[in-house]
Amino acid sequence: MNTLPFIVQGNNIVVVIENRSHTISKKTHIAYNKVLDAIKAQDWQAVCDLIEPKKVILKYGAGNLSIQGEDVFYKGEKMDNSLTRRMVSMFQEGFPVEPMVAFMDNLQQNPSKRAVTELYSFLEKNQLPITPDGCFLAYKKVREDYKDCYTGTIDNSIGQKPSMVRNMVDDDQNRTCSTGLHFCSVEYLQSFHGNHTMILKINPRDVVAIPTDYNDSKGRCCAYEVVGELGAEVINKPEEAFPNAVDAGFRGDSSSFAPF
Amino acid sequence: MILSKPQSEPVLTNVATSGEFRIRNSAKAFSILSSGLYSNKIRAVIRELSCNAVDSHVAAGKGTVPVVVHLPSALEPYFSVTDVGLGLDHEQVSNIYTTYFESTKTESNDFIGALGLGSKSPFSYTDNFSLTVAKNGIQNIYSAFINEAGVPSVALMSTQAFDVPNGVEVKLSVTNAQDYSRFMEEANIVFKYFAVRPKITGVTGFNFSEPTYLEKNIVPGIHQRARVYRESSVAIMGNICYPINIPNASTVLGEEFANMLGNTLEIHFDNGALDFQPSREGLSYIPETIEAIKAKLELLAKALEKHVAKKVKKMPNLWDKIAYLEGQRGNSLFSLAAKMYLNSTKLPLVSTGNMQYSNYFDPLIFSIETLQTKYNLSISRFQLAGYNGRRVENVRDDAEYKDGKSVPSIYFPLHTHIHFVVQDTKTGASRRARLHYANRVDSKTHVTVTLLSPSDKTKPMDYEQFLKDCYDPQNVFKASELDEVPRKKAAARTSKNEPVGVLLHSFINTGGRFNRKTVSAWNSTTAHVDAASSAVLCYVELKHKTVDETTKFGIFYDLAVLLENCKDETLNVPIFGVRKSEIARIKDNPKWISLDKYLTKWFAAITDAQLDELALRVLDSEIKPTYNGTVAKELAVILATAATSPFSVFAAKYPKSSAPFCVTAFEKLAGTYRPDLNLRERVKKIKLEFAAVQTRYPIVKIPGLTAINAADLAQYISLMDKEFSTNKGTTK
Repeated sequence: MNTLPFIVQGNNIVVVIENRSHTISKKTHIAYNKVLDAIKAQDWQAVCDLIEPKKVILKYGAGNLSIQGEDVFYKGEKMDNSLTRRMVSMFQEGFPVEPMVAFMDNLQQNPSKRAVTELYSFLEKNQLPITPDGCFLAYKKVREDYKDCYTGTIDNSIGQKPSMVRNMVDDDQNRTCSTGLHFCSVEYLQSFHGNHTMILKINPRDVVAIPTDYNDSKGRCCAYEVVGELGAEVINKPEEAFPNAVDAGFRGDSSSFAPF
Repeated sequence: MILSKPQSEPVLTNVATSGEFRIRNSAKAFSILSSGLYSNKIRAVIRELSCNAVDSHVAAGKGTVPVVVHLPSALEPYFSVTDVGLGLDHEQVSNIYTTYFESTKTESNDFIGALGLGSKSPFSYTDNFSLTVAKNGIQNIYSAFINEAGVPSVALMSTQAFDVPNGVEVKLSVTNAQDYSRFMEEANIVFKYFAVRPKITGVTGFNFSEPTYLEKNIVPGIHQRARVYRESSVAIMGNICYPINIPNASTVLGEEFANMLGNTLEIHFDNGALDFQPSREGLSYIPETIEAIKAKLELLAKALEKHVAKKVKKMPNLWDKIAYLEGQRGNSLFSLAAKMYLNSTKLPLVSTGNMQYSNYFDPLIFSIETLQTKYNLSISRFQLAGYNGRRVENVRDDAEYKDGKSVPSIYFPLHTHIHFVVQDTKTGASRRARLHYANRVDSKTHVTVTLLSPSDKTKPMDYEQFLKDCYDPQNVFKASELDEVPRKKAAARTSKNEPVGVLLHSFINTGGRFNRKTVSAWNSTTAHVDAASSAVLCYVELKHKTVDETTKFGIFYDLAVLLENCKDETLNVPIFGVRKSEIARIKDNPKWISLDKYLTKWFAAITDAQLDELALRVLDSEIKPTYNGTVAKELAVILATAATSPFSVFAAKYPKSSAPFCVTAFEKLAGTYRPDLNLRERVKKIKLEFAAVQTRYPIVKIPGLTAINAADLAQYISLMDKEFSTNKGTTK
């Protein structure tokens, strides 16, 4: 393949391939670093393969994804833009696609379309990591004795898996405080009292509603697993607890985060 | 677009040298022109590149062909604008595209651009963008970038000859994922006023937002948009929307025109009519711009005057005409037009005052006497007040000052919220009117209702003439046309001599607080209190279901205060409001007594000793320092042997009372029921007696006497008494 004309300047690259200019930026292009490496190595075929994000994401999807126009489909189901963006950042951070595939599989088991749509918004706004088995992590504040703050009856110590019948959970997002197992994001933590901040693993299948108040920062589900407690180091800056898009370390201690 | 040029040429004489200012070709200058120019950089990039593309289409005679705009997304993170206009060749790119202030569009108002800055606007967002140009079968691809010296540069990256249509594509990568949604939002704002909307690619679900109007084409090219919080009036010129924010608008344009601009107007101007800031983010308010805006507003005002005149002409009567015109006073869009109409027509009642601060019209004034003699009318008014106009309040009569005298009158401002109800029923007209207006669905408007009743019931009222003299108001209703007020069914009487009434006041369990039940509680008296347990039940006669508020309810308040002061449970009686017909039922029932009689009886029972006690309580606070309870008690013991001492006599006669007493309520009630009880006189008498004691024992006058030991005080009093008896009544 012939040498391609290109300009690398700062965090931008302009490269001309087959009479088309491609201008990409480090922060937004799915494979900027790989394109840069390919240019440095003069691997022009690799540049052509990597320059178009759609091609990259199709390959990354390992046969699970398809693209029609501007939309990405997972096993024939259109993916929400927030998940597409999440997938792009997973690719950029070097994670395999499997956690997202598992997440999508779990999500497709959620019987409520409305709950799924609300969950997209929750995940988009709150940037919580997903786990290798396709769940997501969220927070919950509990009492000194690890019982829930409202009733004081549900044990939320590490390892517990509280659950309730799904149709007993209030699925009306306009009823902002109602029946159900509650979880929240970093933003909501500041608005709620409690002695311990627990880390929950929630299967997207079990999410029932994301109430409209507090800017979509809390939710109700019918089951979760308590997988950790936010450590003293990050208790006052929980936004730093999950630096990665995918996380398998749950102890809340910043040193224990292991990239998947 | 043709830009405005300086109006005058300088004339130089006897000048030694002159030199022109220059601009240094530096990174700083380019940075200011590319980046510093725009406060909203994303909007600037979208606007400037799109306008250039549209201009190119216009120049190529393809003004109706949409340009293509690609909005960024995660999968295609770039923004681009593509046109199929004239295209550019290498020379043009070198000469025009890369030269600041170089523009080919300054000789015609067909184009939006003119400054030669917009094509460089991508540098306000990024350091690097690509440019694909095609002309006459040659396609060149350039990369425009800021070089190491900080100066914008262009590098030709590829040249290809093939069958490609003329056109230009400008493409830049989005530098932050958060900007994807920003580009969509800003594109929506920018393209709102594009005559030919671009074709949007790259994202799904993009919808152009359409402006919503309250009124379109008030005059051609001037619309009133739906009000949006914090949005001002705007000027639309060459697809671009400029907010109109003229500094000191009321001074520059005049108050009325400035007010008109507060009405979210959308005014369309021809290209070149207004001067604008180089960033195109706002207008430049040079005199030509202001004149152009003023001219449009004048056009609008004239059109509005015609609009007003047309509307007024359609109105059948003068009251409505005046009411409508008066109503425009608070309407910042129509106030000037209404005023212009007033000046050009002759209408009665036009105010001679300053219309900016006062009403456009004076009210109609009728003296009560005229109403009675001329029309046989008695007028009562009520208005809807409070939240949603649900509260009905009576309106007092007005007064007109004539020759220094106050003449009872009624003022009728000619407003749409003045309504009339004619009493054409025997009874219940007022009730019907009140219920009708209080329950109105549109009662948010505060309405004043004038009830027209005959002053002399034996004669007919001439309300028709009266309404004619009021210029025929439209809001006139007959009471018989309004819904009849259903009467509430009274509870069954428990016995023949049990009246139906309203519990007006009861001190029971209210701590003496005023407690008036509403008319809706009209019921059998036994429904209110356990009548059997009350030894006495008082009644007050009601007229038209109400008690004369100024006197009777005043009594209730005084009673409450008196009870609080006296702690006399005999005053704690239930008081009912009952009709005259009901009183007949109970006149022989010993349990029922009129409130007047009951209070007369209560006051008659007050003895001199009781009055002294009350007087002492009034006085108590004044003599407290010297008449402390503890000291008094000890003194009484110490002085027991000297019972004849004037101090002992005084202390025995006026023992320490426990609570202060408010004389006002007592006085007011006693004034009615027992005028001979003069509490103040009694207070005065005790004061004099106490003053005599203080003269005899000067130390008693000293404030803070309580600190003195009672035994010492007794010794002092004994000594003083001894001294008096030795010196025969004189002190040393």
